[in-house]
Amino acid sequence: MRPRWLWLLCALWGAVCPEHSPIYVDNHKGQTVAGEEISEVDRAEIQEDLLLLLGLHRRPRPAFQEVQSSAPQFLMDIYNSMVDDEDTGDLKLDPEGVGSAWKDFNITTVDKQVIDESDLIMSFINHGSKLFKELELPRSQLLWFDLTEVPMDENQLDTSLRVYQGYAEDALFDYQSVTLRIFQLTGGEGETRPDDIQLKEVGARVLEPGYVGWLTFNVSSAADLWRMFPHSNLGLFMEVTSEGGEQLVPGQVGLVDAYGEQARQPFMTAFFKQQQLKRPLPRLSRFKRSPNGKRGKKKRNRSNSQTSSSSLKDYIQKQEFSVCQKRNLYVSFRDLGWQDWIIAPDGYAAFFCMGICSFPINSQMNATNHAIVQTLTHLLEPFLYPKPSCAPTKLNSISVLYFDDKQNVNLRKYSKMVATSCGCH
Amino acid sequence: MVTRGDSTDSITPGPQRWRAAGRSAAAAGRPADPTRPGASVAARTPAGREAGDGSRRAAPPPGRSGRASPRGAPATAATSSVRVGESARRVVTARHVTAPRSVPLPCVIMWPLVVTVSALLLGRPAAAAADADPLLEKLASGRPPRAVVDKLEAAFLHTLGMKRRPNARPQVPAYLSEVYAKVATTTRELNTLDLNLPGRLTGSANTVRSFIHSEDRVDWHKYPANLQRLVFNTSAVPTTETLSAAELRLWWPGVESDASGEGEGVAARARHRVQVYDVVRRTGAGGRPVLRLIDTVTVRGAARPLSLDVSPAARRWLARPTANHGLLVRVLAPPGAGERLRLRPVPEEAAGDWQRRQPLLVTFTDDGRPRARARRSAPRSHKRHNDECRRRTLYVDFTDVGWNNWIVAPDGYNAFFCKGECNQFPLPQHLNATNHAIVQTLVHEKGSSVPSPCCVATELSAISMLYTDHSDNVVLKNYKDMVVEACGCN
Repeated sequence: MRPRWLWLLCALWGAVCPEHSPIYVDNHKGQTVAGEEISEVDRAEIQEDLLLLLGLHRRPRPAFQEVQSSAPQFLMDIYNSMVDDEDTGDLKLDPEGVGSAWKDFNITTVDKQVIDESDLIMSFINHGSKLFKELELPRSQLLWFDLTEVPMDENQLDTSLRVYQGYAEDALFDYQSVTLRIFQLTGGEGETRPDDIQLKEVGARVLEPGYVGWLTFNVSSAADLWRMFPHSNLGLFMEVTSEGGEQLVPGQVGLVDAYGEQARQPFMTAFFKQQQLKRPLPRLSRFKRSPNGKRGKKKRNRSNSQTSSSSLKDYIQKQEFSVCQKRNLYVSFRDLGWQDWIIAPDGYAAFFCMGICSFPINSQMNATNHAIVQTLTHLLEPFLYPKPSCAPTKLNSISVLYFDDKQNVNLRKYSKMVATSCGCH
Repeated sequence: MVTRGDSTDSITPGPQRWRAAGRSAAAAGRPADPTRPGASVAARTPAGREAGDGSRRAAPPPGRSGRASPRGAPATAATSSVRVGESARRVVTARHVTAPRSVPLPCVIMWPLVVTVSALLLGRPAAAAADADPLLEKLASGRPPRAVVDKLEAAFLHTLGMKRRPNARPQVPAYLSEVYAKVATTTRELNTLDLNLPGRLTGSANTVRSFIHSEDRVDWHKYPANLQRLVFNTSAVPTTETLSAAELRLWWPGVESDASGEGEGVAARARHRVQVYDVVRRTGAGGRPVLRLIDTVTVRGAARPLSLDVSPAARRWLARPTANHGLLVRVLAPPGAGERLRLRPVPEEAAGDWQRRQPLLVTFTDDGRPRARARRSAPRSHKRHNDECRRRTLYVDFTDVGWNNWIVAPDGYNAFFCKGECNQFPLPQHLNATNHAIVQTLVHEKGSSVPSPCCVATELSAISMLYTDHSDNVVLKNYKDMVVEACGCN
């Protein structure tokens, strides 16, 4: 145990002192303990590699973290309602519909399909009131979403705008129908002046009197255009008209506009699916840093810190010869100092498989038929054919809820992250 | 080094040690002992294919006569195969001990065995074996303990759902061979364990069993010619399996070409009605058996097999084996048509003919094992490093391990195996590394006790097998996860 004064010194001197490892490993005594202390360099490398794995090129630094408004709430509800699919290990929206996502956000079965299929869900908060101060249109009905963080290499499955309809205080509804229209603002070529702006209808809905809940509009075509040509993104306009064509204030019919209650404000969500199986390549950065690709420096680091837990290591090495089974491995995002941008989870249990797969094969080993055949061939010709290896037989997905630089909340699914069972292959 | 067979025509290059532990008995007709010492699984490359290319596509198993290596043997290794007569199943294979220095010692201690010359499968020059370790030499002269092979066989039998090794290899009903031929091709194509047989409600069944009636329980003399009780011993079906269909197959000999006389014409046109009853109780009220009619077919014309659905009876027997009193088959022929349906053997008939025509009970069951997953398509062509994790050829020959006594077909199959390193940086995309493997590599790299990912099969496919169970019933079953389709770091 390090004396307290040393910690104090370390706190002052940050970079020099070894850091708490973000990786926790099974010590085979029924405990999961933090790994060896690691240097600042190692820690930066772990961060870099994990970011690549998470599909991010750099660490997001959101200016503020705000999770009370509608957009993050929507994603948090989805995050909390996801369950592992028994067969595939993928994350799906709980078909039982537990959690509030179904009721509050009016998620239909079509939405569920899109959510299940997508591997990245982005939510966008409305910045409309900050823009186009010169426009004649009522500012509370202008919506603008920042799509600059949208990845270009992902397939857009669906983009939808959600507008909340609450109780209408006005008795307007009683004698006429009211229509909510969503327009896309389009401008001319090049520099857009307010006079050039035109409105293009992208969706319309006759409001149902007495309905309370979210209304969904498909704005995929507009979002596609904005993604390709960010300059064309001039926002959306929500217009409420009576039967006679009279313009109404949204609040009159219970609609929540940009100035309304935070948790009910209009927001946009986009669902994406990766185009192909593309793998982040860990250690790419390291090649840049040390062109010869040798890891001599790190080896030295390792041997220095090895003395502290060598007895534990010996113990683990002995355990390596035990039977193939699942062991604990926890990667802590919190210990990496990422709690400011990762909303949930704090970390995840990846587990790993270790142990020997030799004869006799018993039922705990989850051996495949092929593994039995391979054991046979190994016994008969050990030089030619290796023993089966201990490896995960089933891998589950995890989902991560995080902020990007623009304070938009994203929910991303990562497949095959958690080893749920081990076996001999 | 062990030579199987009665001749060794091998080249003996340099200082390598050759040992001729000849077992001449093996050359002419194999003894039915699966655990003969030295039984081994040879690494053979199917005819006409390059060795050691880790070939991506499954190849048909070589025929018995085509086992000779098609390749020129390298200078330091030799394989020679001779076909010993028409009756002999064995192919003489000369082998020598290769003892590459890089072999990890624990492996050596594991099994003192003989290695085929196919070291080039590993891409390793066989010359490394030139000076063998004295320990290796000593071990190489040993035999694989019989107990080990026995236990492995038991493990394999367990996956087939059997407790012990069945005895001999009886006659395979022609019908089952037909089904096997049909299924063996579709299984690989569709990668399913289901037996999709049109016209039969086989559903999710993945096992077909055939039963012949037990002779000692056939009471020919008690019944008139048109009535016959057939008892099938279905106790070999494990209680864990669920029955999806059962059929009784009978042989209709047909009516000879008509035109001769009036009588034959009547016979040819006459419809015969075949009824099958489930004997629910042997003696019911008044001493008469309790019967339940379960299926009826009418037949006339040319010779053909008849199929009757006896699923309700089979389902009842599987639920309560003691309630199996057999089936009662009744043939109703119009007057003058004569008795034609073959239910019992004729004294002058050859044994083989009766075997083809005797009544057969066929059950389709589902053993409840999880289904094979749909195959993913993986990127196929890549530049390869020698030690990189990839698929390599491994032909498992059931004859070599003596299991051909109870595995009727196939003779062997290309199982493939995965071998290679998974510690490259960065993990190339074609190594099919999962996210989990990437994280594990990272953790391993950071000096933790966590090992690097293993080179394992990422896709496996099924094969069909025809084997005999310990009641000598021939069983056709689709087995999942028998063939490696792709390897990856996991």
